[in-house]
Amino acid sequence: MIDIKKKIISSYFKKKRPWHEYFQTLRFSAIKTFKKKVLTTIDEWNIPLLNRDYMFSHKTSIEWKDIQPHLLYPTDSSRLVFVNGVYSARFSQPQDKNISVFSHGLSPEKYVYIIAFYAKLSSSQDGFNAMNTALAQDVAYIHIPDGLRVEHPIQIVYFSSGVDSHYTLLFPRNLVILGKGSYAEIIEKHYTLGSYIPLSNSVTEIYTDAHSHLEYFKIQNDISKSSLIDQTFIYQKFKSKCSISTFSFGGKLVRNNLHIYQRDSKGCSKLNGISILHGEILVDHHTVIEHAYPNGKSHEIYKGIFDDKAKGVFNGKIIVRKEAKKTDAFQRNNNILLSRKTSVKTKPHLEIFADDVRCTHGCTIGQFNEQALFYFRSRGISEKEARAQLMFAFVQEVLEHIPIPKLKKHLYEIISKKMNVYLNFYL
Amino acid sequence: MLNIIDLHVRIKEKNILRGINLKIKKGEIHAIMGPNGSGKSTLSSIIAGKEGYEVTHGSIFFEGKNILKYSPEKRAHLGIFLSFQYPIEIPGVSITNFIRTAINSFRKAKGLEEMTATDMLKKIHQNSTLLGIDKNLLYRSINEGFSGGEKKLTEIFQMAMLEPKLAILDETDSGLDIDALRIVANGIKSLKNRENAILIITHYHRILQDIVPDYVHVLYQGKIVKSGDKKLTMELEKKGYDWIKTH
Repeated sequence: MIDIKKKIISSYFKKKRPWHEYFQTLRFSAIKTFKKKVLTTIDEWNIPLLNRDYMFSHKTSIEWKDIQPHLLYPTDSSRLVFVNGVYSARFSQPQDKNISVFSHGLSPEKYVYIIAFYAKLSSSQDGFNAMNTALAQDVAYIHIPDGLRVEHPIQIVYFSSGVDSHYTLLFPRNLVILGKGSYAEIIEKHYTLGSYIPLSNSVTEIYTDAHSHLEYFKIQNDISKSSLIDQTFIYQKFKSKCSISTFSFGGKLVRNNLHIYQRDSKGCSKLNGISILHGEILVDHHTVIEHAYPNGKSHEIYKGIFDDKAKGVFNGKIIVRKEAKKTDAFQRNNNILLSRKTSVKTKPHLEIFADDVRCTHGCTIGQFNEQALFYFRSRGISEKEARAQLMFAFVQEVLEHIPIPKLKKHLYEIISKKMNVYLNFYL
Repeated sequence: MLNIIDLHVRIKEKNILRGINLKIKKGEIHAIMGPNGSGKSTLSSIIAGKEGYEVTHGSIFFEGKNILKYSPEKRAHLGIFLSFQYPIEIPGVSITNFIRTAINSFRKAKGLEEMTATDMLKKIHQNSTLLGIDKNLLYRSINEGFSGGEKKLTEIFQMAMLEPKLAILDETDSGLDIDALRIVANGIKSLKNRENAILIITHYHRILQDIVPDYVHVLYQGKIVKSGDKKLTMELEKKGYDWIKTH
């Protein structure tokens, strides 16, 4: 454990220093926090994965044909592609000057603008976040100007690829700023192409200004060796709407920390999650929604289906500060366990300091409804198909609200494949 | 069509059916009546293939095949249909899609191609019109928020779509008011023909005034203790089940 810590710190000192003073100071203080905190965080989060001999990102050669199947909109929408942590201009298609990457090549004006946002939300107190801030290099930067409605979904795709089976550490980082009254849809995906065994330590910061609306989708369907630690922080202004949907289907260890700060009144936050897991995966959802102003809304539904030895955690925290009167918060987590060796821990956690609020929560862990299964079979539907349909029906509540038909279709395909059935229609 | 011979069934250690003999020919309507706990629902479940029962003796033949080892879906494909006493709510699956999957499963079992969308819609339209079902209901999730009458009527709609040879109606009349009962009973009658058969399971003689049975059987303590024609229902109505118990 100590060795990898040293290795990370020494890699920091080998890195090219950013020319802007702000980022130099930021990174330096982050590596100090990392040094102090990483062991505590690993312990608290129960992340056993750092105990490996990790390499840092290496150059690799992948072709368009390798990545093309993993893109939803190969031609007509904006996309940022990263390969082993490095921005790939060749595969990307920003299409718009507002969608860019900042590393070293950003104009001084943009740098000054970004300083007001970058690393302001992510709490500097945990080891993984500090590690990302210290070592992230190419940052996906999406800034939607006031009033602009982006027509097609923007994709951010992180590939890792290599021929040897090395443990690799990656530091994806996203900064999303939505101007007043703007609208955007973003799809984020991480995918391993070669035989690398990556651990992606990802941080995303999102700002939604007044009356803006963001639909953000995370697709976690990586191969069974890959791990992902995702921390996403969202800062919402007046009447802004932000919906974050997390679809977890694969990987080895996936941790999603989602932190929403409603920082003005009438904000609306939606959190959706579907986990359909088998094998030895662990998916850990930790969500925090902080209502600090009046008339805020939040709506959270997480659904999970677990098979084999898959494990799940749902920890949903809702904080209603004293000033947040008339808050309307809803939270639900439903789980189905298909095998004896799976396990799920679910924990709603509400802290309410305001009067006159409505907060509801509920969680269930259960098995397949045998009566429903018999109902299907008595109508001539095979057991396998009945199970698949019931599983679809179980997650349908989350799927039906996806506003992007292509993405919806893509998710149906992933789920059908996972269940090994062919469905010729959408439920 | 259906021939049950000396059927003994138990759940865990409890004997539920203790030697049932029942023969149903095509074109016939049979009614099984009996007090609570006499084994009526067990009998209908076991014909449809529900798991969790232990058959200790006897057999069930359907069109000459002993179906006791068959899966519920295989029995359905042979032409057995069960209208559930308590149709289950299934959020997220619309009746239309459910019935479409069911029909195509039947066709697949027969080695036929899937039914085209146009033919399917036509068939849905015909049957929902025949039964007077509100079409909006068919696009809603199965039984979710349905009234008692709507639930039973959609069961009959499924029966109309699947065209079974033998329909078992397990307490289809229970929980319905007089108007709802009349609608459901008329629906069932309109589906009856000389080729199919119906087995009605009920507590009450009311539904049997609308759908007149050829044979009536009284089930008591897991046995058919009395069989007769429709006059038996009147006798039961007058004298109550105590009359059977003391016999």
